[in-house]
Amino acid sequence: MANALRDSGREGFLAGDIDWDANNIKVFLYDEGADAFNAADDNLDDIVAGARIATSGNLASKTVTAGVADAADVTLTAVSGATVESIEGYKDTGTESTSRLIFNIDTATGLPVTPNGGDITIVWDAGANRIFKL
Amino acid sequence: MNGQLIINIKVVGERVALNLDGRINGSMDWSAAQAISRELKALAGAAIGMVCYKFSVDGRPAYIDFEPALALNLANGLYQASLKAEEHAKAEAIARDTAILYRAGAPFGLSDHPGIIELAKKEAAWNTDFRRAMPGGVKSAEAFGVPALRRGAPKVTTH
Repeated sequence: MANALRDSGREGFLAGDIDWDANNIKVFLYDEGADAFNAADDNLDDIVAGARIATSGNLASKTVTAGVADAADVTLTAVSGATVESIEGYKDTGTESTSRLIFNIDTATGLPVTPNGGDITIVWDAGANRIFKL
Repeated sequence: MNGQLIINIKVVGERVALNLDGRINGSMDWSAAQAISRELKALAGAAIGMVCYKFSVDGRPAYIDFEPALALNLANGLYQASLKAEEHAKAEAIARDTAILYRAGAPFGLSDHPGIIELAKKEAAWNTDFRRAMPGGVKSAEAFGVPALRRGAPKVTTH
């Protein structure tokens, strides 16, 4: 794998079901050892709860300028659990079965990471692509 | 026949028109022109004396004798004209193949005909069926940044 949009994410953007800067977008630390990455997964309920080591609050300060998705860096507090292999982004509707998975990032400085009970901060790339660019 | 035979070959759309001093005056499709070209070349290559070739005009045979060199010139002329006629006959298919190349990112085409190139550009730009012709489909052009995870110090619990 590589950092990529999920098909459910692409579909959501094209169908107008995902509004990056208006919807609640969250990320979680994904233990792929507990639930292997599956490109066919499309909603949050497709990934077992035990594989979601820590979930962020809503991403803040989201922007969409020039098709580039960006947001403020996000901190997950007091993270403990199994080693995390990737970061998964999704649209939170409040219902797992309708919360679309948007992207998966498995290439990042510091991944994989083993939580130690302390905070984990995700610092988004400050380059041209930020989180991702459509 | 002598070497003074005046040969006039023209491309008329998908057909090749041939006039041999008025003795043969008609047109044929590009594949027939290529077949005649091949036969004339073979005959010219093997000829010891004159080359006699049987044309069929309106279902009737017409025999023309050529010097071997003239037969070769006629063969080459017919072949070149047949290629242009074939290009005209297959313009749509050539444009579609060229469009697939364009969609795949190849910066070259299969024809230098301006009309075909223009058609290929339109097909490449608007024909969504070409997604099926791309190996693995058309790749998404999304790009990702590379974030960094910073793990803080472990929580210290005090009793």
